[in-house]
Amino acid sequence: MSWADAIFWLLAATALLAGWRVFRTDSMVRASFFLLASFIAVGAIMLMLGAAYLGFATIFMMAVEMMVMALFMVMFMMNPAGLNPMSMVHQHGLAIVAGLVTFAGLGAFALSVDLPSRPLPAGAEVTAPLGRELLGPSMLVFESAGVTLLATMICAVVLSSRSGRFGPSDAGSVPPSIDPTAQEKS
Amino acid sequence: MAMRHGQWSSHRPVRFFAAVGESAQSRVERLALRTGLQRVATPRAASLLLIAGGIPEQSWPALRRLHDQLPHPRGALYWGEGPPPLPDVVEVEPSDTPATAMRRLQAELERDPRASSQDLLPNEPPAPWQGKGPHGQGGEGMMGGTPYGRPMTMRGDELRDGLRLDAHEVTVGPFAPMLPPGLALGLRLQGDVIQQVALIQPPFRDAAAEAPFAEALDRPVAVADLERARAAHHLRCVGRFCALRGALALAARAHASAERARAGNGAGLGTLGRLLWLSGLRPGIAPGLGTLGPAQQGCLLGPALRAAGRPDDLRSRRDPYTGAGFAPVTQRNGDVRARIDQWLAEARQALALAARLEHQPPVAFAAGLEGPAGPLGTPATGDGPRLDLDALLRGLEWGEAVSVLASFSPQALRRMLGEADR
Amino acid sequence: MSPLGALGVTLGVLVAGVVLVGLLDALARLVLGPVPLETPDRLTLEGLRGAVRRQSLTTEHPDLAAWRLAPAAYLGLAAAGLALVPVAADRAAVDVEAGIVVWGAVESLTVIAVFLHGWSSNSLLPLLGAYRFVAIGLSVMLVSMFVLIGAALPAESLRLTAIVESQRGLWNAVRQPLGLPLFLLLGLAITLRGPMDYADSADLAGGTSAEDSGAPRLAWQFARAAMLVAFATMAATVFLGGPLGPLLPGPVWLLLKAGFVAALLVALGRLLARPDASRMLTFIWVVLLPLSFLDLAIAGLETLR
Repeated sequence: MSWADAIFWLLAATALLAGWRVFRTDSMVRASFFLLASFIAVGAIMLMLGAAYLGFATIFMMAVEMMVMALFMVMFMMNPAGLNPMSMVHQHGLAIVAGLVTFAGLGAFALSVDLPSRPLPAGAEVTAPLGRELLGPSMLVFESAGVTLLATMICAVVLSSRSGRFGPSDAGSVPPSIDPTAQEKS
Repeated sequence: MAMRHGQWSSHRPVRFFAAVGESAQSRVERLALRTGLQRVATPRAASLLLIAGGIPEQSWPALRRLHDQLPHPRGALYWGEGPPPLPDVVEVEPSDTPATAMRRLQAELERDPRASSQDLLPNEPPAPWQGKGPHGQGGEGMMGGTPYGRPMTMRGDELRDGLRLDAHEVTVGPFAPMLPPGLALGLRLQGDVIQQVALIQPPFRDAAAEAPFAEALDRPVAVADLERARAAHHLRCVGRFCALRGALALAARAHASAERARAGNGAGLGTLGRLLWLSGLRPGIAPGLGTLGPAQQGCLLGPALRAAGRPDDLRSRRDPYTGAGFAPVTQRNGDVRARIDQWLAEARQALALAARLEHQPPVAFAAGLEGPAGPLGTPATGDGPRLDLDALLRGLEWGEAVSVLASFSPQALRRMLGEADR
Repeated sequence: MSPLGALGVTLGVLVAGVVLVGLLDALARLVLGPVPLETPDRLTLEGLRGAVRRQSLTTEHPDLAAWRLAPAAYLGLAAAGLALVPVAADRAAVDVEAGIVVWGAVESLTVIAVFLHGWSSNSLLPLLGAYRFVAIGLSVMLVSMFVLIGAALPAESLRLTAIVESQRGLWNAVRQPLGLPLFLLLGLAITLRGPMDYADSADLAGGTSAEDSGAPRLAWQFARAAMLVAFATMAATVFLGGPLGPLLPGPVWLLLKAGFVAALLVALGRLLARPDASRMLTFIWVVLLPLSFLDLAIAGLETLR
């Protein structure tokens, strides 16, 4: 077993262990950061595969996303620090069956399919061909995804903006009542 | 030369946390500027607790909790009058500076860490863990209860946009370094937005700020000295405000100007005004922050009143001032920006008056005079409204609320909250 | 360079840089005047010994693993950022093809380190500092990424050595005038200084460090200074041409330029005031982000020519 193999197994084990800890920990903030640890391990595996840009971009983006998730956990969840015991699993039976079926399916796929082995020459440029792929043959996929994300963000901002539909939201923006005789001045 | 040596040598500054009591804020600030001493903002970073000024008995439990928060090896000094509020403290005379005592105590602690001051309170959580509830924490399922002795915050309505977020109730104590000394507030916070304020204790009285003016009520005092003291007070308030908002160079300049004003040198106040803009201090404060509603306007005093546009100043009816052509300075909005501008403008005006009235014979103001925190020596004008902190601070974020409270001088805040000292 | 050698050099430069930052802070305090209450601790040699002997207290039921991990992560990220920087025209301790993206990862993980530091002590004031900082930090990070992409455009590569090479004719600070000022704001944010110090500020009694004592406190202050070193060298590389310059050898030029940026940040940290958090957030999204787009457009037009 070479150094690369050993590091790969270590990273894979980290990803799995961190992923498992996401569901077993009581603290919601820790759950977000365990998920981040899992993503960082996967990003590191991508680095080992030679995808420098993709690996680091995965780590970068996942860090930002998990940070926002942790923030929302603190804001909205009932027990973000895990000071109370917590059980976050619902539908135990169905979850176990679905997990085992998925594992069996993916495992069978991974073991039975002939995955290609095309090692890159050492020192090959990876980022520029990736860029040309993104803006060439795959442009439709990425640009439509990008525009969809932008639309989602704009909608989220509009929904949360201060000027509500019926008046400023921090002055109690409320729709007028359906019954015209029961109208009250707010 | 000695200062430069102190800065560049490996001499470690003694870190102390100041529990500021009555009439002690300005002398603690002057002490903190000495080389070899560093005043820190949190007791965890300090090795010495300096209890400055008299502490009323109702604040002694808070002082004991504060004492236990310093890490070992720690020591405590009491720099005030009367019996010390904690056992086993090094006492320093109010007229001395405690700098040498502090260095000596620090050296002793470094030599023998076991000489560290013992805990005053038992190290236990305030409530038992075992209680009712499915997990023993006393709550409903995964929510609520008092896990590990701390009540779990539960959701409450939010002021601003109808979301239901956790509402945390906390007491911000009498020795908080970002609040006026002695002010204790019971806050209900959602995030850092204040939902409700209850006044637990008003700020401690600051007789040192008004000492020359209180003296002038009984004895003839040189008017130039009074005006210089007024300028120094206002500049110190500006310096404190700037330091809270991170404009350290500006705060240093304001404190230095205050020291120079005490000695009678009024140079550099023009640039201070311009620097308020250039450093981003004024643009960084929201316009209209900290204005009082029309019902509350009647409780304002002193510079805060004039910042709200009312030209009420006892000096416009007192003899040496009218002779020198005194006219009250006012601002327009009565918000935080206006109050800071008012402090600067009044400091400049006070130094100009001091220069003009330099050779005036000493006068006694038996009928009352305008102190730096409002009129002194006039009989109480009936039941004016008290400042309603809930109306003032509700809906503000933490940083904004701290700025609003720092835009009043502590003695003025105390008077506006209804404490009559004389 | 062998991995162990690279690590050794990086850590050595980091420690030397932290000493320099301590001296710069002392100089700034001397020149600009002392203040009666200042939140960041002064880094002194005697302070090092004293801090290790001081008790490190914990609060009631903190997340101790995260609390002790946060300064270590902060320091590790500073070292990682420093390792990316080319010390000579074509040599860096770690020469990654996507160097700019690694720096972006360092920035975002720094925000996480500061958040963990504030959240894990189970105390109110640190928590307020932590999530105030997250809102500002993530926003200013976006600004910095656009500015860095603008700096990468003339080099037609994300590799830091290529970016240095592209500045042989003209520095990026001159070619893209908006770039360096916007990037300096990010520097103030990730080193928790001055107008962007929402995490460790005076109005929160020290913010995320309010419950730190003893050796962990020293570790956090050391890591803050280390991040300033890493940021200063990165800014010098991307905008001031890094090791390029006549007469003197490459590393000396890099040191001079990084020292200049560090001194600038230390001075700005004391000179500028901190706006209200919501005002700053509005300012970043409404003014600074469009400015960073403008900077990117300028860079793009120039590259197309």
